[in-house]
Amino acid sequence: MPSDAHTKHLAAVAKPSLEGFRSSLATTIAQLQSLVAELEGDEAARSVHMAEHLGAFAQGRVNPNRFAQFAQGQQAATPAAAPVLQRAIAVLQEVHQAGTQLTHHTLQPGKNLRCLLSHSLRQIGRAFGAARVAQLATAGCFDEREHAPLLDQYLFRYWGPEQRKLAPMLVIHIEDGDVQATNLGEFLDGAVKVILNFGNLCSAAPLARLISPGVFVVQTTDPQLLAEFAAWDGPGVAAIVPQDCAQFVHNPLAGTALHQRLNLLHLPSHAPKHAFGGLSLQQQMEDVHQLQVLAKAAESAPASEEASPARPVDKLAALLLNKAHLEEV
Amino acid sequence: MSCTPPSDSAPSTTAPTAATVHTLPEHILEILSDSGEGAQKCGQSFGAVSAKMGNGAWTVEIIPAEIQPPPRTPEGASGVRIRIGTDEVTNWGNRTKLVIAFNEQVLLSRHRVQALADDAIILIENMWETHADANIRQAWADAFAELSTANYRFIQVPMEEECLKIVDNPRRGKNMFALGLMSWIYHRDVEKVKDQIAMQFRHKPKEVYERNVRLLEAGIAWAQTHLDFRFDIPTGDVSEDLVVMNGNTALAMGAVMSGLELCSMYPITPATSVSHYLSSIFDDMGGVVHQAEDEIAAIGVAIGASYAGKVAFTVTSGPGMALKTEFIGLAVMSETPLVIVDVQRGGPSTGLPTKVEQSDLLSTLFASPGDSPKVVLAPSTIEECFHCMITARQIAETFRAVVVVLSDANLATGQQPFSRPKLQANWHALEPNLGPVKDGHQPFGWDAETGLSQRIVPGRLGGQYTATGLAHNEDSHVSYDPYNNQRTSAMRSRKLAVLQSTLEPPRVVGPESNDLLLVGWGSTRGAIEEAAEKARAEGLGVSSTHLTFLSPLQPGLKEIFSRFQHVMTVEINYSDEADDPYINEENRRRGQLSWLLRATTLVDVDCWTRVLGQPLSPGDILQVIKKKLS
Amino acid sequence: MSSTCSLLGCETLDNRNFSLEDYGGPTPRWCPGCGDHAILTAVQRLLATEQLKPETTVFVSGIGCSSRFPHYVETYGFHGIHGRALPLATGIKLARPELDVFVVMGDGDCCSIGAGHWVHAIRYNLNLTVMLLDNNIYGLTKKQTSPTTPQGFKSNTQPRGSYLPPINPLQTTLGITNASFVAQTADWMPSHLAATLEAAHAHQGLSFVRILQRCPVFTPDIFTEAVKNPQITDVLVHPQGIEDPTSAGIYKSQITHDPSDIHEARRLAEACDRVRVGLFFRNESFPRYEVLRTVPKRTVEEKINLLNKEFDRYAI
Ligand SMILES: Cc1ncc(C[n+]2csc(CCOP(=O)(O)OP(=O)(O)O)c2C)c(N)n1
Ligand code: SF4
Ligand SMILES: [Mg+2]
Repeated sequence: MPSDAHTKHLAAVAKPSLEGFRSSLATTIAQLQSLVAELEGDEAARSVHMAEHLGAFAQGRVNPNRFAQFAQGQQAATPAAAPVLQRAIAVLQEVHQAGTQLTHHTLQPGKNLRCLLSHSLRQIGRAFGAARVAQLATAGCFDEREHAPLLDQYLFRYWGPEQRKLAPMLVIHIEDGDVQATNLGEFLDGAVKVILNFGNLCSAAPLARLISPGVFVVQTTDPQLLAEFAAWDGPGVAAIVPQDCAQFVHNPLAGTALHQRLNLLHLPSHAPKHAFGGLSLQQQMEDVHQLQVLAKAAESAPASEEASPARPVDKLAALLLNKAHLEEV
Repeated sequence: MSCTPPSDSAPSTTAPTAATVHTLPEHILEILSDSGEGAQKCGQSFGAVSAKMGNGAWTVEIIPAEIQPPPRTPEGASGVRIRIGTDEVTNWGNRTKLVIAFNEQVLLSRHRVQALADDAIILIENMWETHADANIRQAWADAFAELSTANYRFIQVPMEEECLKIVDNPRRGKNMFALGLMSWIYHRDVEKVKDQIAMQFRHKPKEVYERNVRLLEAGIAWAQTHLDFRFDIPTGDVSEDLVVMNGNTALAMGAVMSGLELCSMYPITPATSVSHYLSSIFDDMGGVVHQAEDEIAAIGVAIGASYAGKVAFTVTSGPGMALKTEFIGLAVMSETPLVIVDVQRGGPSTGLPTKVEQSDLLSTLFASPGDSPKVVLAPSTIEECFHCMITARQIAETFRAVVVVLSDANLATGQQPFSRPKLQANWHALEPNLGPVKDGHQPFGWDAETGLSQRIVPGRLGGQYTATGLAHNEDSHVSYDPYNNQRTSAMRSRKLAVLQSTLEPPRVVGPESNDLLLVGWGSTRGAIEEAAEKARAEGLGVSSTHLTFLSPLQPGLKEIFSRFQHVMTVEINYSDEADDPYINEENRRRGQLSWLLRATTLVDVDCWTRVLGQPLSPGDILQVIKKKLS
Repeated sequence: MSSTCSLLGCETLDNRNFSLEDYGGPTPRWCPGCGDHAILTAVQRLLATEQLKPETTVFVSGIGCSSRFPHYVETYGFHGIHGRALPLATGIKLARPELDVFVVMGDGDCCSIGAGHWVHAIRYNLNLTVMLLDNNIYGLTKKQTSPTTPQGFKSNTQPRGSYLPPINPLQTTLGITNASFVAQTADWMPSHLAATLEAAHAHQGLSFVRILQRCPVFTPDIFTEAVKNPQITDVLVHPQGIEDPTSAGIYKSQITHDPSDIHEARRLAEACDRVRVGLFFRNESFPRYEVLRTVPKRTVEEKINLLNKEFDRYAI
């Protein structure tokens, strides 16, 4: 079982990103409510609303009621859009209220990590689906049959780049279950970040195969080491592992060449003895081996190449890094 | 003529005389020094403390035009006038009653512009009279000869000598000593003064604060021992939360609250301090101050940002406005919302960079090629500097219009307490909705009646169009069709009429019909209203009204004017005097607002204007009223 | 600047596939044979190759024949005023860094009336793709001398021939602090033009591309020799440079030039009797203004809290 102290610390690490996401939700909700009030309100309500938007300088100088008529002309939305917007608001509020239920999960024995993540992101995604519906409704393009399903679910694969940047950090406590981390690849985009909190048991190097140039991957026993991971603006996976697992940090910000990015801290002192998370001993050995190979490749990088990544693999890495717009970090 | 000042309170070591306390409803004082001796800081601190104690206050900076004017010259005078009162104070008043001067030359500068009351009390540094340099002694003697035409009461104060007991360089300490003098004379709450000093030196080591407090206390002690008078200006009750700041700070805060996230500017006095203050807070609040390579680029960047969905603003003064005119035309033509702040100064050309004037009204309205209708607002108080930014941004967005806010040097550097705004989320701009664009939605789908249309920002699916400064049709396609040009010009112009239909007529202060109506705009409101009130108290039939919307003008003006025998604007800009040589009814060039009002109402609106580079005094306006009604 | 806080500012991932036609606007009104046509085609091809979304791509221009460009591309556009395309583009990019912004200017636009902005935009080094369509003349206003008009060339304003030697846009740009990408190509070298635009667009920072552009109406002879005789053209080549194998067979004079070498770049850019095309200089590590000026995004509530703290400082 993961320790309590760890759990608390991880919650703290994940909190800012959840708060950021929720504040975007709150902004969106406020914006939509304001619009609905404008669309649905009677004249008096609209006039009060408009007076607020015009501010104190306009008091006694601008007639808010008359002004509101023209301000409304600036909206493509008609009063008919209001019920749809209300439905979208309801979904946004639901997601907003869910709080840590959205992001903190426990993988029960017999369950599959990929399914859990996909489900979790789908829940989060409902907010994006609702926002999409609101966009369509305000633009006057909402079609019930085509678009209403977006309010129920919004698969990760439809998330746009900004949405992928907004995703709150997920924390999964792992009791047991199918934890083949390679399956997580498809979610590692934008700023999607996942922390896997293993208890006393874990495979030898569960994240080794996720190392790729633009992904922050860290395996550590010490949750205090996650500050850099949390600050990283791109995708990442972290695992809090028991003592004798492999420990390493792969930090895309540390450089474009592999040897700059990858810092191998510890390798298991003996071969794995238990199958774990659906991984056989052989598979776990492979993970460790993969890590060793990467580390070796990194070490043997001639010093002269530090400045310009001339090897094809690093050129590709550099290219990918560029494409990932890391410079915006 | 006597060459030594008649001084009735020479420094002495005798025990304190029992001072007579004069209780007054208001008082005006000035502190004057060479530039760099800190009179401005001292005066502003005094104003702030007075406001914090519950007095009405208004401070006006006296600014030398040059950065390093030679010391001991009238041109180099730097300082502050502070008017404090029991009730609200809305302007800088008439003549100064008490002066603290660090040398006789700076005093001379104020004497020469008749800023001082004939019976003013003058506390003056006495080191110059006996200075080693014969030229200085002579200058002192000459100055006093000139000053002897007034009945000032001089009190010589050994400021340098007293400060040297505490610091090595009295140039850096005299202002605190002076603050001590003022604090004693006006019964200021010493703890509040110390708090103010602590705030001023909050980034400095503690010793600095302590040294300054010692100087302050030395000033208080000296005053206590040597002065035979004190003034008591009772404080009113402060029932609501107040803040005190200058107009440029208020503008900057208003910009943040309104949701403007980009201030693109090029430094120019007296507008620059908006960006100084904003730069110190904006980054943390999610905004950017962009110092562009010139005023043209500054507005270009703002228009680009605004086109892209974030309404931006640019802040400048007259010469900068001149450079921006071509881009203003582009914003008008492409109907890109934009807020421009013009903190007016004296013109033409480089003019009087640090001084107040209201001379940009007509150029704001009409400069820019072709017909380029825009909205023009003018805050009339420091409080309104904050609030008008919210209204300006809202109008700019709703009407896809350029909104110019005309402030001036008087509002920019003056300080006044006002009700602390209760900040509301609805004052803030909404984020652009980047949802798709409905089929058939045109970038300039003008409503044939109102000229209004819905803006499309980049990023919206299906909304692609090219904004252009060329004549264009609804789709933003270039069009040279003559009827299209006539129609689209009407659409852009119509928006002003539509905005006007939402405006209320201006309020008339005083009887609704009367002999004379004074009309003002911008920072002169306090002085005009005070003068009109005094005149009414003397039995004269004067009312006043103050315009805050100058384009479109508030409705109902013609009807209001019809209820008065005479209508006259009062402005800080140039106009020919009716009886000047060569000037007649037809060729007379008039005050800018009167010009505008005559054209729009066909009423014979007279004007009284001055370009003295200083705010108007109620006393001068009162004289004008009397002359007009005699 | 901060990006959006509201989910209403988000787009979804889509699987659209754009063809060349998707970027085609109305038929250009340039004269037949004008080099601008070829440049337009190359740019549209770039858009299709890179699959740039029409709704997140913006073309910004000044005034001139060349500045009509945005009207002919089916993206967002801002056809501004003479000389001022760069400030507009700066504002767009600062407000919305996620937009792909292209700038099109003429030689009068960029090197004369807008020269001040040119210098400073290079220094800001925002992520913009900037194209100078240089026909050595004022086209739209009918043949006045431009800053790049060759000395002695007769125009309507200098009928006895241009008095002064022309400004050298490449050297000028290479002399400005923080210039991070400087290349030259020509409208009559389609594959080189395409390769240059691709490299320019991929560059992180301001890419400045001077495109020699034929104006058959007012400067029919200026580039004739270069078009007819490939021998007078030197193509700068390097593994880190612009690769254009297609035209290697025609343009045989190749100079190997390492684009990280600023001194050599400046030397090669010097005026001479050769036409030099290719990548003169590139450095992606230079500071970029929009990155430096990224600020945290703040919700309205957060702003109100922060502003209230400010008001506390001024409270009575
Ligand atoms: C402020 C201003 N000054 C002058 C003009 C007139 N003008 C329009 S385009 C142009 C020059 C165009 O030359 P260039 O920039 O080289 O573009 P080209 O037409 O050759 O593509 C001039 C002087 C203008 N539109 N605006
Ligand atoms: S005048 Fe010259 S530059 Fe302009 S369109 Fe014609 S050929 Fe092209
Ligand atoms: Mg040209």
